[in-house]
Amino acid sequence: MSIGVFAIVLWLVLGLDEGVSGLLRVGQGGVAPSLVLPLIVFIGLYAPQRAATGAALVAGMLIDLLTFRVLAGGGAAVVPGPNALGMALAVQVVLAARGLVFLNSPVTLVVLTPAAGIVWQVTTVCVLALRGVYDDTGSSAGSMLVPGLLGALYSAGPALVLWFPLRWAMPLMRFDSPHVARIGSRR
Amino acid sequence: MATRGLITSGRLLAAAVVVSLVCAFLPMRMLGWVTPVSGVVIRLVAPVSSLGKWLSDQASRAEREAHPDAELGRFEELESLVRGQQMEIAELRATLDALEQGDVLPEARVRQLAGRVFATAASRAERTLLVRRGSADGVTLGSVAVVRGRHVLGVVSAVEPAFCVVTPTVSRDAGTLEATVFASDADTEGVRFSLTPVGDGTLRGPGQFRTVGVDQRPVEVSLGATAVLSDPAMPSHWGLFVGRVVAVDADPASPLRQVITVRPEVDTRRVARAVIRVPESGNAGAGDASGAGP
Repeated sequence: MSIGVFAIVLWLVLGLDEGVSGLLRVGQGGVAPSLVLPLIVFIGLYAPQRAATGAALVAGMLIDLLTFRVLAGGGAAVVPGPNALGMALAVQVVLAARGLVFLNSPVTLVVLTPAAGIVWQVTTVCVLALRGVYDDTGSSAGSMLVPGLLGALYSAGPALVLWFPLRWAMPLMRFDSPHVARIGSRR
Repeated sequence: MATRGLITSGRLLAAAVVVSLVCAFLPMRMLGWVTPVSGVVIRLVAPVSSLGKWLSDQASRAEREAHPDAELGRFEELESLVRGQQMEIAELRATLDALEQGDVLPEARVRQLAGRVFATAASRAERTLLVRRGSADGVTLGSVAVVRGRHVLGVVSAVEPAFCVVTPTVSRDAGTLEATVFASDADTEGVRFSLTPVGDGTLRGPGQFRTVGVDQRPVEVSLGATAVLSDPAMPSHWGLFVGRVVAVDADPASPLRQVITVRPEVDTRRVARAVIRVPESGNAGAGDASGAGP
């Protein structure tokens, strides 16, 4: 996989995610879709296993570094790791499923994005809940779970939109997996 | 991926997982080094996030730092100033003894810095806003961000040289703040309430029990009244609008007290620009600087 192209695409998607999440947010409960999640699911569908897991870790870690968690006593802090671990586990769902799905269909991305998102959110909340045993992590884990899960479902929408530019950029990403060569010949 | 002696892609990946795992469980006191790293990442992402935020501001009716109706904004500003002065008078009366002994109270002054909101939190659960004003501009922890003239947006909860993190008052973890609701225009003292964010965009909390007149008539606030900031931790920002009372209930634990629900008039999800109110040095009370992070 081309690391340079992935870095540029991640930069664009992460920036857009930060910029437009306020607009896409539904209600006051914090339900907003993720644009990074469909990208990682897309990478998981086509990239070699290790490259996909590495990409998910990097994306998750960047989300962690962009997230200031409000602490109960006032102030805010950055906690690196929860989203990185969540994304790394989420992409394993995609890696396990990609042999069973139609790789040429946008429906695949739309269906797998919420599934991976649920794993991402549950893992993140579990890590933060464990941290909460000995440290102040701001929100109670339970209160984060429901908006997180709804946001994962909501991410199916951006997944459909992102499918087309990602598919267009696919040759640039140079996924050198055997199964990609197989579907590539059919395109 | 290539294999170079001991360093293989598999081992690199395993190391990355271990590092993520260790970082995820490091105690907060050992994570001080992360904030500057985070600042670098935010600066790298800022060009795209600013563009995305600008596009979303164009697509929605974004809240701006000034009131869209200049006349109404001027009226609100005067109302806010009057309420703030009323609370300050009450505070000055309480400290009259100190003044008689020669102590001079500092004049309440704040510096106002307008800044563009360029990003919202990437994590779905958090609802912080990043404003392009930082410690290089003089922003300090505990400064208050306002929009539409004098409507409170939130409190600065972290500061980096180029930007600051604002936690909206309605954010679930923003903490309790004290606000005063005036029962009528003639009421100069008001009723103080401790408001805690509920998580649905409102703040809710009980108030004090206050009576007036010889018949000890309780002062009761009504629906639609305005709640203004009167938090002892933020004396420089007294009188700013917190929101409007949308529900009034009796406190189950103490039926004579009222419990109110306040909804801010500004939509904290769609803020394009905000003004950061920084207490001038020497004026910041102990409370004004108490919003310190970890």
